[in-house]
Order: sequence, then structure tokens, then C-alpha cells
Amino acid sequence: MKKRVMIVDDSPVMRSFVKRALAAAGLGVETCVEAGDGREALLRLAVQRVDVILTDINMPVMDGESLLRALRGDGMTQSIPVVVVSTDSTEHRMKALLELGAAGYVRKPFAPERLCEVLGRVLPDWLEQT
Amino acid sequence: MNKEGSVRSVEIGDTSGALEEALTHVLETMFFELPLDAVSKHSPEPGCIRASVKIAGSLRGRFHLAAELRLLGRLTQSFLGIDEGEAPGEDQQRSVICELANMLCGAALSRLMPDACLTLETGIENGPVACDAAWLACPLEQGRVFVKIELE
Repeated sequence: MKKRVMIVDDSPVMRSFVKRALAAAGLGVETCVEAGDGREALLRLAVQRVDVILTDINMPVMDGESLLRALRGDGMTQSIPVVVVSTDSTEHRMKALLELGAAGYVRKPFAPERLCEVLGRVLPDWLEQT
Repeated sequence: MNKEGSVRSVEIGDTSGALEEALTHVLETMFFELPLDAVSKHSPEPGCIRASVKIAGSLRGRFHLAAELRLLGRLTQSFLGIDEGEAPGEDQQRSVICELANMLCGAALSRLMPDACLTLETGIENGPVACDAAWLACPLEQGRVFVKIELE
């Protein structure tokens, strides 16, 4: 089953890389919504439903941690799984984000196989049916 | 931080292993490139495109990256899946060198100080290169990348 994906990163080239990595991992994407920061992500989510959100942490305007808090505090978005994709890979940072409700964490740099492994754990039917 | 509180270049012996590991890991994983040889001390040549990362938090300093133009074009093609016959745009190349700097800096710091609480702010660097012995050059098939890290 193809999924509706949102990629949140202030770098257009990194958003493009993540899209390519999803394709390389064999994960079918029905639609891919892009946002340059957390605030833009929330605006887009008001009009567009997605199955999973992949977000960076360090972004201008609204960072990934604030986005995660906002998503978890809203009944409309609190059940959407959020996977953090970031260079920031310290143990305490990852632990804090998981406690906030992140479903998984992918450290940059990453190979498509790592993305597939984490997303397959978060959304098993994605992996099984693509 | 040193006693004077000023920026200094970390001794290469302290960091070169971490930088070399970071270069190999990031370039292979995200750019499908492998270094042709071990890193060596060498400052960037004029004409390189440069980016730097401001390091803040429990550690402060700056990471510097320079890439020869031809190589940066190749890295941009690899990263974005652009055909070899198609020239990447300048904006794309600037964005890619910033991403590369961010990932290299993060990968090196996570090897040097895994528990440090840091924020990284990346941008393009202009102006003359400060040539010194702290630069490391990494040879790839289509040119060299140069890295340097300075910590307070």
C-alpha cells in the first residue's frame, strides 16, 4: 500500500534526497508533501492528511521538537507517526524526542536500507505491501 | 575552552581520525564516493567553494569545508540523482555543500564527543581562506574536499 508522506526539512536538496531514498528503499509513495519548517508543516497538515511525517530537528521558524509537541497536542494529528531524520544524534536528544512521541529516529548520514528498517517498524503494512 | 577563551585549531592528532572516519562514512553513504587515499595536511586551493558550520552549545567552535568546483558538481549530481550530462545549478551546489558540511561536522563531533549537547548552524563561506596546518585534504576521483575544525 502506498503511503502519503510529509517531509519537513529546511533544505530542499535534503528533502529531495529523502524522496529518492524512499524510492530506493522500495517504499511506495502516493503523495509527498514538503515543508521547509514546522510552521509550514502544520499549515499544510490543516488541509492535507498524511500517513507519516519525516522531520529534521534544526530548522528556522519552528524546529522539529516544537513541531512534535504541536502535533502531539492536537487531536487531529496526534496519531500520525513522526520519524526524526537528523544529524543531531546524541543519546539524550534521541531519548527526549522519543519521550515526546517520536516513533523513530534516523541519523544522517543514512542509507536507504536504514530508512526502510525504521519505517518498516513504524508502519509494517508499508513494507509488507509494497 | 582554553584558558584564554580564544578560538584555536584543535590539534590534528586529536581530530584527524574522527574527521577521516566522518569523511568516509558520509561520502560513501550519501554520495556514493570513496576516498582514493588517506587524508593529508593541505589547505584548500583558490577557487574552492566553501561552507562552514557554527558549533554552539556545550562546545563552541566552527567546522570548515571546501570542495574543488568540479568535484562539487559531481557530488551534487550524486546527491540529487542528476544525470552526468546535466549540469547542476549553482543554488543546488551551494545547498549540497552546506548539507555535506552539516553532516560531516555532526558525524565528526559525534565521534569526538558523543554526549555533547550542540546546535549547528551552516552557511556558505566567502572571503580569503585562512591557510594553516589544521586543514585536511581528502582525495576523491574528481577532486579533493578539505576539512578543518576549530574548537574554543
